[in-house]
Order: sequence, then C-alpha cells, then structure tokens
Amino acid sequence: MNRRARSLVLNAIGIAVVLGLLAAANILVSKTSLAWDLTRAGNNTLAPQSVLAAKRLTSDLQVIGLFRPGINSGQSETEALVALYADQSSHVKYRGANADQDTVDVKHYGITQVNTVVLDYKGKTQLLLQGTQSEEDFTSALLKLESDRVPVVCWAVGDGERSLTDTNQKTGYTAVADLLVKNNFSHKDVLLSQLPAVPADCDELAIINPTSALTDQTVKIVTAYLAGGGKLLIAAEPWPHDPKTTATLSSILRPYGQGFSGALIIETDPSRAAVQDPTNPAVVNYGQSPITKDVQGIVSFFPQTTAITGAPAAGVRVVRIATTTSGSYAIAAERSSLARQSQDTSGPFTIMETLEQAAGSGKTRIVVAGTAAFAQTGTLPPNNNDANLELALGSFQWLAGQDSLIALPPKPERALPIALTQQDQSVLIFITAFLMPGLTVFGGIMVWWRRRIF
Amino acid sequence: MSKSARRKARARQKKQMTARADAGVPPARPAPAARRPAPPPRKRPAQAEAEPSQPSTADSLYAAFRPTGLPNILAIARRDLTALFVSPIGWVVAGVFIFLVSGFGFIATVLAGQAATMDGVFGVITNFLMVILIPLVTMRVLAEERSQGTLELLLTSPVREWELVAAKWLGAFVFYLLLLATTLVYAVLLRVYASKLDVGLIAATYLGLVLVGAAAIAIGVLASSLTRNQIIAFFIAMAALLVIWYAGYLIGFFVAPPANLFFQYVGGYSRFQSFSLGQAAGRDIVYFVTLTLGALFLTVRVLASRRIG
Repeated sequence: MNRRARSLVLNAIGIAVVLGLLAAANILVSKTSLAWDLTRAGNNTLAPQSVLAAKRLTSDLQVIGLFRPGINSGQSETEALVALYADQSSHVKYRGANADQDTVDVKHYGITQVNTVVLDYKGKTQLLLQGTQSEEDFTSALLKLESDRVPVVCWAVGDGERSLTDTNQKTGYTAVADLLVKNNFSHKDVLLSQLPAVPADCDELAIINPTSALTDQTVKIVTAYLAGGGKLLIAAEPWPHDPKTTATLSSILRPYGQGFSGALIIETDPSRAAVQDPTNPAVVNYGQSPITKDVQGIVSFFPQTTAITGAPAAGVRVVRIATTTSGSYAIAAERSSLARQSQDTSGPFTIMETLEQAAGSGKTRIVVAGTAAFAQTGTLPPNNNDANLELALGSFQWLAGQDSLIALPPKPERALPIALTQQDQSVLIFITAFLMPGLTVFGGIMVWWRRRIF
Repeated sequence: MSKSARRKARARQKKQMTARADAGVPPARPAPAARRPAPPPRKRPAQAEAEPSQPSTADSLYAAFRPTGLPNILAIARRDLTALFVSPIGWVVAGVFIFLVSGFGFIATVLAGQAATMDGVFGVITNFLMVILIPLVTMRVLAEERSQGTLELLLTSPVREWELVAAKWLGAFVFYLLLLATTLVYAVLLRVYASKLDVGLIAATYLGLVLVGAAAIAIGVLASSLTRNQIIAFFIAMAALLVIWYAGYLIGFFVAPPANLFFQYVGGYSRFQSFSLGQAAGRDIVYFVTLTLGALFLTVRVLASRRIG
C-alpha cells in the first residue's frame, strides 16, 4: 500500500471513529432526562400529583398521538408533555402516528377526530381530544386508568326510557353506550319498578325520558337512593303523551326544589338556535362547572327541550349549565302553531343544570336535562362534533366523582393577550417596519458610499 | 518546535533586534555594517522610546495562546466578518431578514393577533433564516477561497486546517448572532406592552436558536468546502439543512414504529421543540453540539484530503 492510499484509509478510519463517538454521545444522552425548565411558571415541570401518577404505573402505558401533520395541531406541546411523564416512568411509551394513515389505530380506538391522544393501559383506554391535552387532563386520565374500579351506570328501563341499544341514527342512544365503554364506564339495565331499592353497585343512575309515568314505588326508591348520597342523570321531554310522566319525574326533584315545566321552549334569537329550527336552542356560554370547563365558547344543541323550573331548596347548590336567551318563550300545551301567543311564558329558561347537596359523609349529585336529545346519537359524533359529547361525558364523570380526582393550577398561556391602542400599533409599526429595516439600508448605503469614495 | 513556530520565533527575534537598534542598544552580534561609518542617529518617535525591549503583555498573551490556534482563528474570523460588512451581501441579508421578521413574524402575529408572543419571530427565523439565509452566508466562506485560488495559499501558511475551518465557522456564526441580536428589539418592545411576558421562555428559545444556528452554519461551511462554485455550495447546504431539519420529523409520520421513533429523534425540528417550549434539555443540547462538531470535523477532513490529493 503506497503512502497516499494509507493516508486515505487512515482518514476514513478517523472519520468513522469520530462520527461514531459523536453518535455514541447522542445515544448515551438520549437515555437521560436532564433538562432545565426556564419558564417562569414551570410550564415544563410536572406537578407532584402528576409525578406520583406516573410513578404508580405498574405496566406499560401506551400513549398514541394520532395527529394530522401541520401547524396548530398541538402535537409538539402534547409530545413534550408526554416526554415529561416518560421521564418519570419507563412504563410510558409514546408513539406518534398520522391520523389519516393509521387506520388500524383509528378503527381500534374509535377515533372520530384528528389530533387525538389515546392512552391505553391494561386494556383500558382514555381518549384526549384536541384542546383537552393539558397536564391536568393527562393526569386525570392516568388516575382513571390506574383505578381498578370501573364506575357502573345503571340505566333505567321498563317505562319507555331511551335505550342504550337503540340504534336509530338520530334518536338512538348507542353513541352514549360507546362513550361509556370508551371511557371505562360499565352500564347495566335496571327495571326500577320491580326492585325494592336501587342496586348498591350502581355508581350512578340514569332515567332518560320515560314515556310513561313512573310508579310510586320507583319514585320512592329513587328518592331514597338520592337521599343516601346517590347520583342521578335525569332528562324529560316537552309535551309528553302522558302528562303524569313529567309530574312523576318532577316529584323525584321536589326535595331539591326543582322540577320540569313540560312546556316546549322556542328560541327566537337566530344566533342561539339551530338554522331554521327555533325548537332547537343553541348554547355557547355555560355555567361554571367541571362539566363545562372544556366547552366554554363551543356550541351545543338542545333539540325540543323543556324548562327546568323552581327555586333550589336550602342546602342545595345549583349550577345552571345551559340557559336560553331572554327572547325565548315556552309553549305549555301542544299546538300546531309555534308562533308566540299571549299565554306563552317568557324566557330565559334553564335547560340543563346540576344539583349538589351534602348527604351524610357523601354528596347527592343530580344532572337535570330538559331534553334527552342533548345526548342522542344524532347530536354526538360522528353525526355532530359540537360540545354535546363533552357535556354528556362530563355529566357521567361528574356524577361518578371523577372531577375531584385532580385539581392542578392552570399553566399560563404561551401567548399573552394584549390590548394595543391605535397609537401603540402605529409606534410599533414605525419601529419594526420602517426604522429597523431603514437603519440597515442606511448602514449598507454608507458602506457602499465610503468604499466608492475611498 | 514546529517549522512555523521556528519561523515565527525568527521573525520576532529580528523585530526585537530592530527595536534594540532603534533604541541605541547594540545588537548581540556585531553587524558587518559596524565596519562602515556609523550612520547618524535617526530621529525616533517618542512612542518608540517608551517601547520596552522585553516582550509586551500582548506578546506574552500571543505566545500563550499561540499553541491553541486562537490568534489565527480570531484573525481570519475577523477578516471574514469585516468582509461581510464591507460587501453588499451582509447588508442585503440583514435587510431582508429584518424586513421579513418584522412583517411576517412581528406585525402579523403580535399586532394582528393582539398577542404578546415571539412565536412569529422565531418561526420566521427557523423556517427562513436557517434554511435560506445561512446557506447564503456560508456558501462563500471556502468556495470563494477555492475559486480565487487563495485556499491553497492559506493551507500552505502557518495555519492548520482546523484553525481555518473554525475561523470560517466563527466568522459566519458571529454574523448570525448579530442578526439574531436584532430580534431582541422585538422582545424588548413586547416586554414594554406585556409586563407578564415570560422572559425565561424567550431565553430558552434563543438558546435553541443559537445552537441551531451553530449547527446550520457548520453544515453550510462543510457544503462550501465541497465545491468551488458558490451556487452549488448554496444548494448543497440548503438541501442538507432541509433534510436534517424536516426530513426526520416528516419521515417519522410515515414509517412504522419503532423506526419512526428514530427518525423523529434525529429530526432537528423535533429537537428544537423543547427549546421553543421553554426547556433546555441535555439531549437536545448534545444533539446540536455534536452536529456542529461533526460537520466541522468533516470539513477539516475534506480540506486534509484535498492536501493529500
């Protein structure tokens, strides 16, 4: 081998060795979690509750980010957050995938929206939709997955209630059944009229729009169940075939000072109703509740709803989740013309609310909805992507007490809102668009001028 | 002692002897001129009288840092940086950069969006400055030397290859830092109107931009060493930066796991994300530092192989 060839070989070996060392340094350091959070509010530091939740994992937590590539997908923020959990526990395994291509995961987890994060742990799953992927949401989901207990929703049947097996694409309730399963709830039907008491294993009871009046026995056992700290989701309908239906449902709420009016609400404000359907009020602003924390400003619909009436009894905390505008009115009795008449009562009306009252060591919780249609298949994904899904899911979670699992202080937004006056804007535009580029151009001209002269 | 060091020592000795002669001190060895009638004493400037016969502090510092190569690096880097500012290209690049950052990064984001954020400014830097302006600045650093035939001259001077590469990189890097420094004006303006601005978040992003810039310039210098044509050097650098910056990130979406983890990890864009979220992660710092060192090392080897060839 001549000298030149030897030099080339040595050169190649040297390059390989140095590049190998640099690659090795990267591999070594990739395993470490050494990092400095430079933000003022500790945006990149997990709260102690989150650290604890991550460290409690005993099996692999598969986190799958199903994003659509592009800006505003929230991917980088979410992946950075997941990395913080992964730093705390080697059980956290993240996998990013293209939501438009990974059809296997999309089908398997029933994904209906892009930019969704799936948490899969011991066969249980939690879905975090875009906008609900904060540390609080993630830790809350983690705690639910770690909990061995699956809340049981007892679904009242036998009096013409909406059924979880009704597959009608508009009025059916199979979307709610899917929602419960995907969020680690189990459900079972209960024939209340033939039971001496609400079963003890029921974490919450749902009585959704019975078409016939409840028996006295049913009202009695439900009342007793609530008095003992039970949880109830109850929904009625306007203009029932049997007027006694509304009365019996209201009798369940009477101890709390509430009831259903049975009248049909007409929303006259076109910006607060479905297009050309004044019987379908739309709600954008909600009362402050764990149920509504992620839906403020997002529209939800309440087709053919009745009003919730009454003044709350002493000790009952009422949160009005959804209300109609002052331009709405209620038609008490069924008629063909929906035009306003003198006997109609004026709004605003409460069409969804929560009731809470202390009961021994626990709390009685009730979610009251003026219509069963707020969670029917036609108002939930994939038929409708408005806030009805979050309201329905939030209701089941609030009743199951899952809102109290975690309460983390919110982290400040990256972009702070500022209110600039016209003068402020003019000053800023002058400095940034004229002064700064102008100085650069001036500097360039000066240099050119000096070189031309000297 | 190396050849170049001996040459330098001889030059310094000659200089000192001249200084002694000027100060009226006879040289250590009698010069042949001693036989000739002594020339009339020259008028010396006052400064020359004060000049000590012993090496000055500057000389001592030079001697101390000489083995590190730092004086050579600084001298060449200074020359390159000056060249950027006495030629139109530096000013054109700076003007275009400030105009774009102001228009698309600041006015469109802050004024139109009424939000106190530097995201728009940083977005323009990472998407425009890094992949277009940096190749524009680095395309000439070695390619121009080659096309003008001065590279051979430099390589035969007492400057080692790595000193030359480091100097070329440093000159372009300082220019990049100066460009980056102009964007501090936006941060100051935002701070005036939004007192709760998270300075730590902005500082972390700047740290990331400094590291990204260092790596991108090193890649640009490497590209410039591969050809004598500046245009080709520009396109090589731009292609390399686009691949390193985005390819891994995008390929990660289309490759099945676990390979996608590798691609997402090696993508520069992914590695920069933590900085933009206010975090300085050790693995990301190491990534950009090793990328810089790797590219500079390859440039040194390219120059060395040229000499071998």
